[in-house]
Amino acid sequence: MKTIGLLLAALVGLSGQAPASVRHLVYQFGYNTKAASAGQGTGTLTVDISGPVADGGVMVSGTDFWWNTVRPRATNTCEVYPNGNVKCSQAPYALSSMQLTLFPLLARNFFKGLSPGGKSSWERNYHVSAAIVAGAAGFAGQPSTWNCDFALQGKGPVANAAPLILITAAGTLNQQSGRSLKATSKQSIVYDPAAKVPAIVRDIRTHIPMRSVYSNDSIELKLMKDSNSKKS
Amino acid sequence: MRTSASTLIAALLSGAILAACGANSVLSSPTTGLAALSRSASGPYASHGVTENVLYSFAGGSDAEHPTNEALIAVNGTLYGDTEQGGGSGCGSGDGCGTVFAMSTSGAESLIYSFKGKPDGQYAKGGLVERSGVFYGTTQVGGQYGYGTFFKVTTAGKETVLHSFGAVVSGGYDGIYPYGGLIYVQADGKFYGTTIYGGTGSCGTSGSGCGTVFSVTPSGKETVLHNFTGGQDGELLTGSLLYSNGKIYGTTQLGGGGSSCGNSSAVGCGTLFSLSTSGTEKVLYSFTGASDGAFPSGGLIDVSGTLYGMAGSGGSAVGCNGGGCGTVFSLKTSGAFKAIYSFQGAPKDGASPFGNLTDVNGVLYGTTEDGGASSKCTTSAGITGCGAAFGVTTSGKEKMLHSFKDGTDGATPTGTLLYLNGILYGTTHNGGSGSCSNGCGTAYSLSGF
Repeated sequence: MKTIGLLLAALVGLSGQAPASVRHLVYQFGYNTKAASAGQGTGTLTVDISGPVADGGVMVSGTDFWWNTVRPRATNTCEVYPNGNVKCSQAPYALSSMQLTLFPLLARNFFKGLSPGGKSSWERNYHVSAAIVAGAAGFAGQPSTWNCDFALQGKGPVANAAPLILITAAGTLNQQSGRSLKATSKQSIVYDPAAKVPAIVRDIRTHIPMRSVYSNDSIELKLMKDSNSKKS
Repeated sequence: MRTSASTLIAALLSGAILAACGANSVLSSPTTGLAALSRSASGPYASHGVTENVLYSFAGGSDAEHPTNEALIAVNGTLYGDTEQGGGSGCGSGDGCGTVFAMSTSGAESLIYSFKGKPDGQYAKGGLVERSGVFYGTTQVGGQYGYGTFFKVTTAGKETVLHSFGAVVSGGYDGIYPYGGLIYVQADGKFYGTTIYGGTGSCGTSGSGCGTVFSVTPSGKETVLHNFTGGQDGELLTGSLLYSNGKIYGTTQLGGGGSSCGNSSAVGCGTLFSLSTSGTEKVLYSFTGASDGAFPSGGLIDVSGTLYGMAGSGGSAVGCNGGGCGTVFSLKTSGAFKAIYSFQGAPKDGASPFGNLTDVNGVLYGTTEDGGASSKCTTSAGITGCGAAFGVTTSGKEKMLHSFKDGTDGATPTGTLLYLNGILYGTTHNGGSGSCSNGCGTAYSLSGF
């Protein structure tokens, strides 16, 4: 018994902190279609955020549930660092197209450049280390690192929906290994500065040059549930 | 106070949310830019006996790496170009921000300038244009707003950012992400180019635009001539422009209407357009994604009054997973379109053509990113081959000139060929003996074609 007690004490001591709370988000997604509660290409992306962990990042697990498409409900768990870096170091070392859009936006400092008035501009450079799978055949492959450069522009509060702020962004994704693929992305983001998460995201991501219809992804995400909202 | 999901949806529903100076055999091509290019083609058209030589393997690191959408130019017998990466360890990737380089035709390379990233340029591509001993070009990223630059650089390596793309303007943005390179129009002394995004169109998002055509003076005064709007109009511009008989011609990768090619959303398969220098645009042809092709990503060239270009997918062949491997097409300025060749894909033919064609005495030469005989490369979409160089007559007779092999040979040629004194010069994005994953790219020559 003494041994078990010591072991438990050691484990608590190793963590050095109380068990991390988990924030649970549910986004409705539309993949090459509008986000909706039904229809081909739609579903939900559930997200669990825990941490922060010792190096300042948070662990983010995402699970896509496609409503009308037979796809495995695989869960991808990655660490999201404050600047937007995403590292998927647990099997299957992967991100879906929706998760590729969302995970960096969950980084603690991603929207740090947004002024209180919501009209500032700022930039984010971050790395995503994962195999990008999901629906876009043009992306699939072995895990690799993508260098992502985004410039963001706050457009101010959304009319009749304060405190939400509209942000537009354009970015480039450059694969640093593999075939050195290139993609561009343009996004419109409705950001909730109180909840500190994006409420609505539209992302159009295109491989340059396009080789097939699969070189062009359109993703729409809408926040439907936020476990933190129960606390307000 | 938290925002309810219904409020969010309500917010969404409310809607809140010239003689082109390419003076060479292709008078209006931006790819060569200089009078050094001889029109006296010496080689008869034939596929046998073609010799490919890797002139230089980009080394990466402090050297250049990954030429992208490159169009080498020649000045007094020396080749000049730019690369997307390399030149140090900046720009967050550890692979540098891109370079401008010079190279002898025997492959002796030297760096002229290494980009530093914001507020300097980042990711140079599309090639250079030379005017009075000064090189002008664009970077896709970097500059004051992070959306790209128009720059000049001397052979001594003194670089100046003349314009930063991406400023907020009424109703949208200035152009965002110049990609296709520049042409110089002697008639008005301006450069012309395209941007992937930017402008006042929406194209599925509430910002960032659908792409633009711009003009810019050598001192950096930029004007957006046309804001693409998507739909029946085009969107997503990655090709260079052509100036011919007082008009500008170009391509858009998407747009043109129709329900094809959208991966379920109706974005169209791309367009060919004309534009006056005052900004009046006309869609000359909208691709259907069938035998005509889809996704033209390069520019057009003018051969005796007929325009020629390439579409990256589609065509009448069933290769490339049934989506077609791309086409070579002709276009009369009246809008009469004809697909003159459909690529077959690996192993006997190229696939996914990219860049501009180069006219040598009526034979059109170009490269494809995929296809060819090598089995070493496969895209994630299942299109095989490491790329190929080809020649095609204007009547549609095609021959593959070289299959890139990867390894010490290049792979994934992503640019336009330069014809100089009987030899074609080009670059590959990958391959070669450089230390990058899959190589840092090469410069090569093709002779005996």
